[in-house]
Amino acid sequence: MSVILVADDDDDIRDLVAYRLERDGHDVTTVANGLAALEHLASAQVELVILDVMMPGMSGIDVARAIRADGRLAGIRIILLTARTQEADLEQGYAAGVDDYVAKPFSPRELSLRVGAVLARRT
Amino acid sequence: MGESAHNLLLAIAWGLLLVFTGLAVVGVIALVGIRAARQATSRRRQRDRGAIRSRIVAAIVDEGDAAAEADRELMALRGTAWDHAEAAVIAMLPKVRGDAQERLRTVLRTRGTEQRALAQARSLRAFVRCKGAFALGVLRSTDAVDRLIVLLDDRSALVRRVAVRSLGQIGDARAVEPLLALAARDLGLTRDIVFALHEIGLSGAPALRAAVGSWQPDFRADDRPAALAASALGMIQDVDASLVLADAVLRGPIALRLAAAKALGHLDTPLSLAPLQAALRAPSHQVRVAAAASLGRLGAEVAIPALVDVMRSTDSATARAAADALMELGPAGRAALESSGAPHAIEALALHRLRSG
Repeated sequence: MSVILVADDDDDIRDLVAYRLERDGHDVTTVANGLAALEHLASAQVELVILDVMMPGMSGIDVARAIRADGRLAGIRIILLTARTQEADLEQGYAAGVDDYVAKPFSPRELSLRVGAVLARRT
Repeated sequence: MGESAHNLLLAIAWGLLLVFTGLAVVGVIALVGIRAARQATSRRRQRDRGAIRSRIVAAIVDEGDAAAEADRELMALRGTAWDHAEAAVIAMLPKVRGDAQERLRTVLRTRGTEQRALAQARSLRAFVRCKGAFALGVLRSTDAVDRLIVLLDDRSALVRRVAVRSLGQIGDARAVEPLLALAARDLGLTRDIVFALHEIGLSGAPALRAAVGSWQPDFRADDRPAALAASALGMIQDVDASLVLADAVLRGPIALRLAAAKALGHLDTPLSLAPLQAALRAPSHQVRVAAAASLGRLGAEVAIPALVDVMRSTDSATARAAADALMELGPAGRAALESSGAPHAIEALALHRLRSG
């Protein structure tokens, strides 16, 4: 079981992702924006963050950069959940330190597999 | 006035006061009761909606027996419970991929959602037409294509936008021609139309090819639909479009030539190369730049002499694009740049060295 944070401004996506990952046995917390994600990370031990790219205020890419710039959050894995999967968008995400991408609309099964793979890389 | 009359009036006044006070108390109690009942109903509805939402999330995410059980629970819902469930399924379904999509579409169709959505699409209220058009897209209802095409002429821009998106989701080739026609009269929807044509994919290719091929020089002709069709043919990588695009890149208005030059760069076929090399000499520098970029994208080593030639002889933008294209052609392109000695070749090589450290 891993501790996962999901940040997405869409209630439906948050619920769908959380349900799937909880069913897989993970401990999932959800927040609705990037700032709330960083606030949560400051006070909780999280192993993986799933970030929506297009969020009001801080984008998922901005949050990923902030996580990578903070030495205390060094071990956290990041998956971006995004409708923007053009090459340039992917490059931007990987440059920001993202570990993997899941395209929207997303397949719950694929998400589950990618989460498993990213967490396995960590150990 | 006698004392008895005075007493009578006093008694009546007291009586009225008591009656009004009683009525006020009863009224206040009734209002408090109604409010409490409403709050209780609202809480119960929220609880019910929460429970229904949880069932839908389970129906979308679960697999196997659990998913079948969730579907059965959805099918058993009645009245307002089903209304909430239907709205939630329609909202959530476009956000996921996988087996749940077709399963839940079947549930919706079985429960009559398609007929309701078609009726909504005919409503006098724009908001209701939007709802209907959106649901028809989620349902991928091929029976709704004609109705959605009618909505492309709706007086509400929002309804038109939703209809475009839904036609894209349905992916029926019948929508291509009306979508291109809409592109000519509603510039604000260009992005949505491009996306819809991309979603329709190769099944729409014949209609797109026809739109490019049928463009005729005419002072009244709008080149936007043909240019958009050319762009879409590139996006969907319709290799069979190379001939019609090759023709378009060499004749026709600039917007069409430009779109065709870019589109040919996405078609991995030798048939793209000759027209692109010819387009390096097009009158418009935008077309020349696009042709050079497309040759670079295609990795066309055969175009090296033509790219070297334009790098030396034409305007700065084209020369830079030709140098960039040669850089994309790997060792053979770089060797051509090194032996050229042209200013843009030197610049491209210097930039490459800087980037590669």
